[in-house]
Amino acid sequence: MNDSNEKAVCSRANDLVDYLYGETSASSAANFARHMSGCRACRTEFALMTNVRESMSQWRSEVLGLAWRAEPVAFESSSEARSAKRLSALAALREFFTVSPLWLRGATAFAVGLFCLMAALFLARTWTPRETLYTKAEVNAEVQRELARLSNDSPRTPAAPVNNSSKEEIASKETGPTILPAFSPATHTKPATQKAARNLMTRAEREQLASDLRLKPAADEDDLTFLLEGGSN
Amino acid sequence: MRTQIRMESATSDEQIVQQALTGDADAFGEIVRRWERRIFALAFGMLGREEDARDATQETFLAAFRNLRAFRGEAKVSSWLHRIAINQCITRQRRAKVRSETGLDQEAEKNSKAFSLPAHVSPAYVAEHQERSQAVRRAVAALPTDLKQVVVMKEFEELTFQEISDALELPLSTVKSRLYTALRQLHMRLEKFENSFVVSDN
Repeated sequence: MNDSNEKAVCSRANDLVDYLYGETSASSAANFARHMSGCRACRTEFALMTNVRESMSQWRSEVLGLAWRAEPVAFESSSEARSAKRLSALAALREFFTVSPLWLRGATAFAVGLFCLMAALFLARTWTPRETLYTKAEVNAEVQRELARLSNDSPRTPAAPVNNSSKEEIASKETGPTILPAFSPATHTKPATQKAARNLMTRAEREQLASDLRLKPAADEDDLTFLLEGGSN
Repeated sequence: MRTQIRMESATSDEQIVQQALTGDADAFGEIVRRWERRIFALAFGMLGREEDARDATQETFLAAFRNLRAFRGEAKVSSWLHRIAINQCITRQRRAKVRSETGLDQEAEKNSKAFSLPAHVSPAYVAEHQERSQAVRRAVAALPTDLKQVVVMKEFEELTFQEISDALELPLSTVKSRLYTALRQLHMRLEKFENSFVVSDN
């Protein structure tokens, strides 16, 4: 298409266009403004072209919406927001701290501290008892094992009753701190200690017991009858 | 000024196109997101109808995607996209001309009146306003394509003279003289409309 079908009235048509759209340096603009004040043709052109531009702008706003002019900037910021989404978690955290006000940073630090404290307390409550407390079954098993060991060891020890009782004390001491309310060591240890005592009687004691049960005559039976006779007198 | 803002954004259009060429499926989507509204504005100015503008915008990005390998990086992505969009619009206009010659383009006017105005304005104002918008639309549509594309790129897209010069591969002085001519032609057509409006009003 020919560009000269509308002949420019003034030779500075291109300068007029530059001036109209503000795409010119300050000095050039000032220069053209001076020219325009003396050039009637350019003044007229400028006025009618401004009018045309207003009509175009009105139509544009109608069809594309009034918010359109702000769009390119909003568009750039939204694309930046999208690229920010692809930042690493650390970078995002750093960005959060740089953009947030001081009180928000303080509040965040406080919240993090509080969270750590709560977490530590929670762990302390759940972990420590498990390490110090035995279960009932564990205590019972330990006691049985100890008693079995005692009953195996005792025949070899001469001073059995004394040792036995002291060992029993040791056993009860060992299990002592971990005793559960439902557990009574007495009921469990009593038959075992009786059995152990029976096994651990001295020869003299056994003979005494046998004579008491009249399994064989005692050495001092005569004295006994005398006593009995004396007693009957 | 706007060019500078665009250059400052995280990734340049050219880098994104390179990513798209190496098989990044999301990269081209980013190009579409960045440019679709501006390309739509250009298409609207060129074609004067929302529906046509949407189709032309879609076709522009499809054509760009198909010819992505043809983009060698010697031009800016924006210039390349604008060139494709202008070509799409010219093709559509040619088809529309054939259609209007066979009398099928009557709904264009009806369709473009559908844009609503604020409720508080008087019906008389609305009528005049709409009449004027219609006059502008018709005046722009009647411009020769080479003048129309320049004035639409300037007024609808607010591109700089340099950006228009890059996109259309024309010297800066030609861009300015075409814009000057386009504005004068528009003025004459609108003046004619205003005179007819005053006459019909009396």
